[in-house]
Amino acid sequence: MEIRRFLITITIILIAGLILGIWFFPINQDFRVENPFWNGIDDMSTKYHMQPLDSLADLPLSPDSATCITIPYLSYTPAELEQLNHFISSGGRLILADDYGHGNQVLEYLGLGVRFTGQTLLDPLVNYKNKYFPRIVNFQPDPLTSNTDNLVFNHGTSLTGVNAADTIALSSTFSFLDNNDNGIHEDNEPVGPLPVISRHNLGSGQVILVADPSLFINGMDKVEDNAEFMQNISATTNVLYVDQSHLKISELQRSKRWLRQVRGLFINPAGTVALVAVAIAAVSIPIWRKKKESNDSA
Amino acid sequence: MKRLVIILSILAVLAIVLPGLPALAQHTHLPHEKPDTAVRVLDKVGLLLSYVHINNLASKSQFQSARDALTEMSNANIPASIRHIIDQYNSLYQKLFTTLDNLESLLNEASVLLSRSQINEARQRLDNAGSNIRNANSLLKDTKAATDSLSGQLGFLDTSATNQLTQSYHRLVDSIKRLKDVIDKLTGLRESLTERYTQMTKLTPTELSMDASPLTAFVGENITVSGRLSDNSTPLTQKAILLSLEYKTMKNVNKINIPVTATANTTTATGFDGLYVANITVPYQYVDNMTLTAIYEPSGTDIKNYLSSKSQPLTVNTLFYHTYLKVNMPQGLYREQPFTLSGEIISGYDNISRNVSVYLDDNLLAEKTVSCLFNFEIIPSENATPRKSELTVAVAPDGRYSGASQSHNIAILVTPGHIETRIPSIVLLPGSIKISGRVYNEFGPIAEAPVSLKLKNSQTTVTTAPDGSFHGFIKLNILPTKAPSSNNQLDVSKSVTEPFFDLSPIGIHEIAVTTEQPESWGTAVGEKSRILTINPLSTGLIMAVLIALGLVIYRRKQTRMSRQKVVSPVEVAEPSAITPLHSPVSKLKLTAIKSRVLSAYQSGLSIIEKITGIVMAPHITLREFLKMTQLPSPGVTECFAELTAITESTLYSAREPPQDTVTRAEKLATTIKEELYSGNP
Repeated sequence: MEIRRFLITITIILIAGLILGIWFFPINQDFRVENPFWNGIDDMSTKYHMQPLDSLADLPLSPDSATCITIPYLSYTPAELEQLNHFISSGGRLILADDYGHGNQVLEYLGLGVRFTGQTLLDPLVNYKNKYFPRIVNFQPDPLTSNTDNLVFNHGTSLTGVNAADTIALSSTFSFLDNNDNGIHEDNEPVGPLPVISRHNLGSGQVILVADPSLFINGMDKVEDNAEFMQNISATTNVLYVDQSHLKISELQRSKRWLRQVRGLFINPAGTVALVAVAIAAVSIPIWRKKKESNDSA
Repeated sequence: MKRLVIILSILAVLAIVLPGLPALAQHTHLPHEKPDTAVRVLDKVGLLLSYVHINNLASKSQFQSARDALTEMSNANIPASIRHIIDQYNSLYQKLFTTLDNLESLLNEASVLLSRSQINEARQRLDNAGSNIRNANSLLKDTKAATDSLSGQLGFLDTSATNQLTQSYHRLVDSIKRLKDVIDKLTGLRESLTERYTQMTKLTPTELSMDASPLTAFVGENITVSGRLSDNSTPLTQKAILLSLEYKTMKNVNKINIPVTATANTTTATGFDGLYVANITVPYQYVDNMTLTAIYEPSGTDIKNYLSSKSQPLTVNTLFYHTYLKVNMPQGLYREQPFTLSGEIISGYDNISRNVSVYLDDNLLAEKTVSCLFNFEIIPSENATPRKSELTVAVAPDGRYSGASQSHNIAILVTPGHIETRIPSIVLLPGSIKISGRVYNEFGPIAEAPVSLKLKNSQTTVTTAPDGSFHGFIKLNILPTKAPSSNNQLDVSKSVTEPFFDLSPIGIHEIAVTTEQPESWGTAVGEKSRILTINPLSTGLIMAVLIALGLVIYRRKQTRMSRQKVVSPVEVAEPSAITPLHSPVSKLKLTAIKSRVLSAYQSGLSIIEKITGIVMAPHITLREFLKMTQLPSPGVTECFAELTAITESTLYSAREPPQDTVTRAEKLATTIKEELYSGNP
């Protein structure tokens, strides 16, 4: 009897502890606005009043002067691509920040010739700490690069098929695309200056391509002029949305969602009534048992 | 066995818990690393290959690109310990590429001049080219030496150097050798041009004279130019003469004005006597003077016979009316907020009408024709980007009147809006929250601004009154409902929301009051407040459950206590102590038979306590009390021991004692009483 009680107690404590841990442990997933750690975008989200979107269906129908940042780490459905297309053609500005994701799927749907190369951009000389942090020093005059002398990428990539007129920022002459991932420049590997940020007019809206979404994370915010770039994005828009629906979902987030769903069940009328009924039943069981014992003894 | 069960149970619990652990220890492999902990590394291979890349550019005669790349190296992540060496090395390369660039330019110019039969100018370029070749060879030798020195400093050929590093160094040495090939190629070109020059010195020289009148003229006026072309005093007929009017002006390149030399050319031809006459118009270029030159360049078969010639240049003084502009420039502009730009145009003594334009960066803001003083009421576009911009006021040139412009860097500002809200902190459901407040900016209250009031999924939009105030309601339901959740009694409002309800007994909710218009505010402004909601329905339910739970716990506790009291003869010390014993017993529903046994024990106990003076304490059990007491006779002791055993059995047995046991207990109590009072067994 004692052991049974011990096991039940320990199990309940562990499960409760796990639930509380999952509930209160902050999300540490990349690019999440809820993530306060170095790889989240909590700082910028707070600073620039970013509105996170759990679905592209939540984009405004009349997005005049609105900006949506999307980081395409999950592929888009045809409906989502159409929602993006409608957002842009209605006057919205889409910032597509990608390195190794599904950005080209969006570009293909929008009918743009430019592409993300998907290869790591390295700069052995003009960098921040090491070649995986290429420093971007060549800018064309543009409101987005106003007061910006250099940006620092973090394991970023580059763009290809960009017209010179559409290019906003280029990597240094010494940068190159590490096609074979050996960290060394080979003769057949493209060398800088390579376009890394570009602007494309589409309908009455615009598409801004940024070849490294890590530019926006908390850890990179204070590096060189990265914050200035974000400030310029914010200053040139009325509302800033950030799409969270195309980021990979971690186990922690999945667990949090599951707990939220359970909580959602209980805050519904039926759920609340069921919870109260269960509570009443739990309380009544000892009384019912007692009565039964009395009757038995009588 | 117990241990085994515990171990198995722990394993079972771990089996439940372990699948959830990855939830806390995520494995995401997104391609970025923490910048704070990234290691600072000098990529020696990359450094060498960068120089190879620069040398390759130079080898392809892309000297300017090579120099730009070297300039870009000022941004390189080079440790301070070798920064000086690298800077020196770069400086050497800069000099070499500049020399090679100049050399190539000189040879190109010499080639063009020779093709125009201008051999004297070509000779000068070829001489300069010779000097540059000597410099280039010297610099290349220094570069090789510096490369060796750099290798020694950074250990490119040390035994510890990696294979990649050594290979990169050899690639750099090879690229330097290709630079030598470039110098050799340019040296060969110079030699061939020099040979061509030598052959052209055998051609017949020509002589060109020129005169012009007047030499002072207003822009737009004509000048008559005349002269003679001859070959050693023999006139040359039907030859094309180029009359070039050269002047210095400013050209805007990437928003920077740089001085450039421009020309206005007119072509004429010599007559039968070798004379030429032409009228040229002074262009509408508002410069102080221009240089007029007549040029003869042989063409066709003449190339093989004659050398080119130039006349002595003449200076033509140009006249025009200067225009001056005075503008009162603002320090900053607010988007969509009107501002007045005033100024004055001074054009000598005439107040002629002039066309004035106002630009913000390259965008035309306003344009009109004014005579002297002007005022512009301008509203910057809603699309104006908030940043540093250039406001330019320009007066277009008009005939003899020059143009004028004035530019000023100004800040495009957004008018930051502010919201003040008044929201109650506690709300009882069902009910309505009255939300009121004020929207304003530094220019005063903002009228007709849409204000969004949002509570979870319930949202209401109200519009501000002329004084900037707004009032709105959000209805809070106790249960889900399809009824409209909000209305606004004072202003125009619309609701596109789900009705708010909250079944939590006590909830904390955030109300967001935001406004996104007008666009001149830059970003949306808003304020968030928290309210406490109390739902009486669910609170009642929870309270009922808690009360029920409390009652059960209370009753169980009371039962446990009464059991303890039954076995606790604390009140036995008093004659009336039977009553307390009876009280819990009655709660336990003791039957009459059991009560009789207890009464018998109580009766015997009271006499023993009086005789012995030992009172039964609350914590003493019946059996302990028996051991504590020393009765005067063994018979009484024996009787009390039996009575104690019967009482214990009665108290703790689920079954009732038989009738003869009860009778025996009462008899034992009577015996104890009699013997202790009488003193006889």
